[in-house]
Amino acid sequence: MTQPLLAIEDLTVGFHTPHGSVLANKHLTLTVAAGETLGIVGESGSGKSVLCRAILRLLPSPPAEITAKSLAFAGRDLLKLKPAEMRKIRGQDIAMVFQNPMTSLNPVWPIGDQVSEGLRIHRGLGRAAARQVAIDILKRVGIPSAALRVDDYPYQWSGGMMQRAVIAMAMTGQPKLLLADEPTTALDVTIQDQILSLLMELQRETGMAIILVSHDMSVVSETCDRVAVMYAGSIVELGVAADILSAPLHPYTWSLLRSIPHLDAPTGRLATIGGQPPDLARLEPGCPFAPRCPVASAECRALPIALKTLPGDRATACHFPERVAQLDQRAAS
Amino acid sequence: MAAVAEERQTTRRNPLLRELGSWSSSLKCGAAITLLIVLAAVFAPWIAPYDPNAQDFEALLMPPGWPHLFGTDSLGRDIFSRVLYGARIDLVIGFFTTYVPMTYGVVLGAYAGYKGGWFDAVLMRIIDVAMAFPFLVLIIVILAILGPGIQNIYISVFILAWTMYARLARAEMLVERTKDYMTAVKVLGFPQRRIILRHGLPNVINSSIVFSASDFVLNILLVSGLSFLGLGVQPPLPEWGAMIAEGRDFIRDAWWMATMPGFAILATGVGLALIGDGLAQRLGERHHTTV
Amino acid sequence: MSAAPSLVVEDLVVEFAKPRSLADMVTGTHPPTVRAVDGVSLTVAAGQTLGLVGESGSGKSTIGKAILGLNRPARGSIRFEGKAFAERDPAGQAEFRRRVQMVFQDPYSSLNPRLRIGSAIAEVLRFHGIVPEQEIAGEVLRLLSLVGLPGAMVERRPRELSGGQRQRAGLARALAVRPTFLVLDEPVAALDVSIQAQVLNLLGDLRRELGLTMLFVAHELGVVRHMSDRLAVMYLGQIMESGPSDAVFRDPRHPYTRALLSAVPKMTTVKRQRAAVTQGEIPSPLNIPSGCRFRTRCPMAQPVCETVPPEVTVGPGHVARCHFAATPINP
Repeated sequence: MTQPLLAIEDLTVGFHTPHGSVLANKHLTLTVAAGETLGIVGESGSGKSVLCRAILRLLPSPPAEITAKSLAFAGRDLLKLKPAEMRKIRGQDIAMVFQNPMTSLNPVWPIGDQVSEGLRIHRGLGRAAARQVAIDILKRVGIPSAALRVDDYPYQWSGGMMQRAVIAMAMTGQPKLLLADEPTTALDVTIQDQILSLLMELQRETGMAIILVSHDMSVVSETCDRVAVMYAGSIVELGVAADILSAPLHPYTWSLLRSIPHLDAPTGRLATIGGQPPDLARLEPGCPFAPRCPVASAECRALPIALKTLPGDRATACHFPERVAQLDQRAAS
Repeated sequence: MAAVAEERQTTRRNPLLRELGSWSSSLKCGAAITLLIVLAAVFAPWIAPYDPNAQDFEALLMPPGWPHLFGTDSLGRDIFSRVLYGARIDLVIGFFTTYVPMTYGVVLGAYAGYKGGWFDAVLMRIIDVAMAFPFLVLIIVILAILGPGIQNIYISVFILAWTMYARLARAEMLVERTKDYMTAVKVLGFPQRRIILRHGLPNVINSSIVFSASDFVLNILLVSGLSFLGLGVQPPLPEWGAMIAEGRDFIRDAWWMATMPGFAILATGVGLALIGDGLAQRLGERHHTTV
Repeated sequence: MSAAPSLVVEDLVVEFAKPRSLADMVTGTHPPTVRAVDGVSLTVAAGQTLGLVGESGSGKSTIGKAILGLNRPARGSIRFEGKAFAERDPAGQAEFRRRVQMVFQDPYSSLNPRLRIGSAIAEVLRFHGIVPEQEIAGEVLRLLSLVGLPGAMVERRPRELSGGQRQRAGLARALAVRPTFLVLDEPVAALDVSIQAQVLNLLGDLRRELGLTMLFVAHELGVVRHMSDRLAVMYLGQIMESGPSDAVFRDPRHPYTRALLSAVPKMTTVKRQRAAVTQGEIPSPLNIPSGCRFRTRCPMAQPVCETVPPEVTVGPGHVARCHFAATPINP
């Protein structure tokens, strides 16, 4: 494998609060190759959105404090860049699409202006040229009669169209990496379907890499090459999507996959994960999932976790990945 | 889990201390200043070295010093004592002119915001009319009809000052009434009065409470201003505004006559403004954590 | 379908208008209205769960609210156990309020932020006189344990609870009046996947133990499928297809239902190559297409769809609003 596009090594993000420091990301190590899609799955509070913002250095510091051995994008350590250099990376090399399209667009400016703004800043286009390219990009992301609608204001558009506009804005810099933070969560299922297909088409055309953050395992399974599963600020499992989804090696991944109601087979009861996700300010030593884990033992509660590399480009943070097989047996009987 | 439970126990033990500990510094400062002024008002007869109305023609226009801390006025009255007694008058005026209109203003606003329709439309137009004119001008008009005096100031303020509170409460109720907990009590068949007063009101009162702190100061200033114009508290009562008015003629020879009560107003203003500020932050935070 | 109908909705129309200004009231004018629900009929048999699915703007939540009397229908009737709300005397209306309850989507706004969980539930018990005063504390604890919350929650305020716990507390409050019919408006949409499964299981258990009848409103097909005996698929204020849950999922006869089902991301090991299953967006309810409402996005629309609003029966209790519902699907 050649040099990865993004290589994160031992990234930790802490937030200073009046009640002490909270670690939202703990010792994360992962890579994204050029052109691939990495899915980051986790529930609220797992730290998946914080990770995206940390990569782009969007977290205000203080209260946030980012430390890492390296946070290398195309060979440059993002943490060592000056603010002006970082601004050139943002929107140009790395772009981001947020969850809520309604708040990602400025309500007081026409959409066309907002799309062409990036073209003028990053590509140095003149007003008229930028407008023409903006129309082309809006057309490309599926806005019907874009030339007529380029001067519309955000409130005149539906949520799905606004998300297309946000994607158009992200594409103006011809990014090598697109961070998509729950890009379809606020949308209806048919619109989600359209947006996911659009993102994948754009990826095929431009060869950009995507980090797709989602709480939905199915979305990730349809769109991602590799998956990182996050829980309580740590990556608990990492590997090729098809492997993880068909044979998880962490009890959390296993339980998460089991707790989704499926379309094809009505089940009597859903498998559940007991208890609540932990409070990040009050984490016990040992595995953060241990209190909710059906196969945890005393060691799990005592020994701190680390992501262990396994054969076949996989990694798990579970002390006893072989116990997941027990879960399968138990569920079968 | 045990540690958590224990912590709860210890912090539950003294709720007053815990409450104080969670106050911001501006809230603490404001509360301290205001408490000092309230104590001064309550204990004025014991603290004041002189009778506030006792005239001493041997000691006219004495500069601040000993034994007259704040000096004396043109009739030889001790300004320190008058300022202390003045706190009694001004705090009472501030209290009534703020919280009486707030009470019914908030209730009216909450009803208007919840019910909408005719009641809301008519109430809002009345408020628009009241707010279209400068507050002071309307008060003076009413006083011109009723005649000067503190009682008539109360009446005129009661007629007008609720409008701001009604507006604030209505605006918050418009948001609050769409929340599911308000629908839930409706589905449970609770009568409208109960829904508005018990479930809605406590949740729409925040901005009014914050506003009331600055309104309190504005009202003291209003009455002081009216007294200054001769429409409010009548001499020889030691009202701060009236005292400033009396000191105006001597401002070149005896600056302390107008300045000392001015400081009292300033201190009250700063204290209440800090409280307002602290409350806004605190209630905002609470609100935020619930969202 | 042997059970007696608990709820019958016939030809329901709900319209929304902008609020009238004072000038409107004086001049007697009415601002233009939007039809959120346009001629919906449905039946929920006692003890059964009807799932109501649709995308945003389909009118599914509006139906739930109309059943509870939270908005006034422009036309049609809603009968609970044979009686419309307006036909009931005050005692009957109070009884309706006890028998029919609602569970909300947003666990963060469905509880009064100022009331402790215990007092919120106790208030309901007291107001409706469900149990004598001295038994209220015990009944609150029973309700909490019914929804799987520890007794210590009595003292907590909503902001001290997690989303899942709040949803359980809201459910306990609704169950306090011992209802027989629950309207659940997206009850798990705001919850994390692992918590969602817990709440769905809880709802399933309660339905069995308490014999509840449910109207389950949701946009997520997997969730609805899991919960419902029967299903109604809504689009732009009308039911496009309805029938037994299994039949609708196994053999969807309306192109919209099929589009919805194929748009749901599936667990797969192969990365998606296909284009989106639908084009375009749901039209504005101010500008509803003539004929069949789905025709503007339908892959198999024909000229007839533009003029004639369809209605076709395709099986026992299975209805689809499509001219071609009965024709076999070409692969």
